Amino acid sequence: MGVCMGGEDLGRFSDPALFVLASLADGEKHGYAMMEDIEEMCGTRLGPGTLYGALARLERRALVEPLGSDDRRKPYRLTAAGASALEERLRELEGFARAGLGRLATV
Amino acid sequence: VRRLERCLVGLYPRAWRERYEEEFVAMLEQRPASVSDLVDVAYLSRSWTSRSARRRQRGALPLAGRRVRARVGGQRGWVSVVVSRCEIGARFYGFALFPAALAALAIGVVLVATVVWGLALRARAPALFSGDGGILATPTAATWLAIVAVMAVCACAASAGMVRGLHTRRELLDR
Repeated sequence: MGVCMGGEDLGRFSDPALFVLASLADGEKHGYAMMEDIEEMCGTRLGPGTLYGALARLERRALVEPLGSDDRRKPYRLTAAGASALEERLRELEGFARAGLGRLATV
Repeated sequence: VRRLERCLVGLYPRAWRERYEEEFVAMLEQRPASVSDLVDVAYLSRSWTSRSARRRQRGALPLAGRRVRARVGGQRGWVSVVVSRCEIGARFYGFALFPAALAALAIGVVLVATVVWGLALRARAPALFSGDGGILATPTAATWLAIVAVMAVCACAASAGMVRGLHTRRELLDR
């Protein structure tokens, strides 16, 4: 089941897409840096195919964009739409987490 | 990057490779790929390849075909039913002939090579051929015969598929 993010359906691999957006939230990164950052941030090691699958979908939806580079490693950054979609999704998750924890507290 | 990783990247469709291959390979060079990474790269290539094939197919289908496809909304079961009941142009049958011919040829060559190898072994090393050097220490000759028999069945099936495809195509072209 795809997860909707601000009207943007990120498809089956919504978690990797969310990780990529979150990783780019503090600045531009290339693929390898994203993998390392995501692993450090949430303990999930994305495979190279999964990472580029998510990146390609996000790029197609104009949520991230590649930056010009002389290096073979191409850095990416969030677009304004990407930042807004990430914020909206994180707020949803925050509300969900708060509600879930609230219910647990009553048990 | 190891040859295996290069091969796996080669599984992706050309459009993907033109856009991402260079940076993707650069990333693989930075971190030695684990087995799970290799599986991940191979698995994801499947989804890109099938997506690319679907896009090509959509472009190749005539308007009526595209309408049928749109109507069934991508539900594969329904697509199968619709396709099985539709008149399909002969040119669409041609796509399977080349792989079928290639498969028949390949298995035929391997079958002949196995037969020749077994006969040569029998002539040059009769003791080995009559010994128990087969699979799970079974008799070598019996193992060889079993392999030859299975391969012969496969070769027949592949040839039958190819002949049937040719026959169907000819019938459709004659209509």
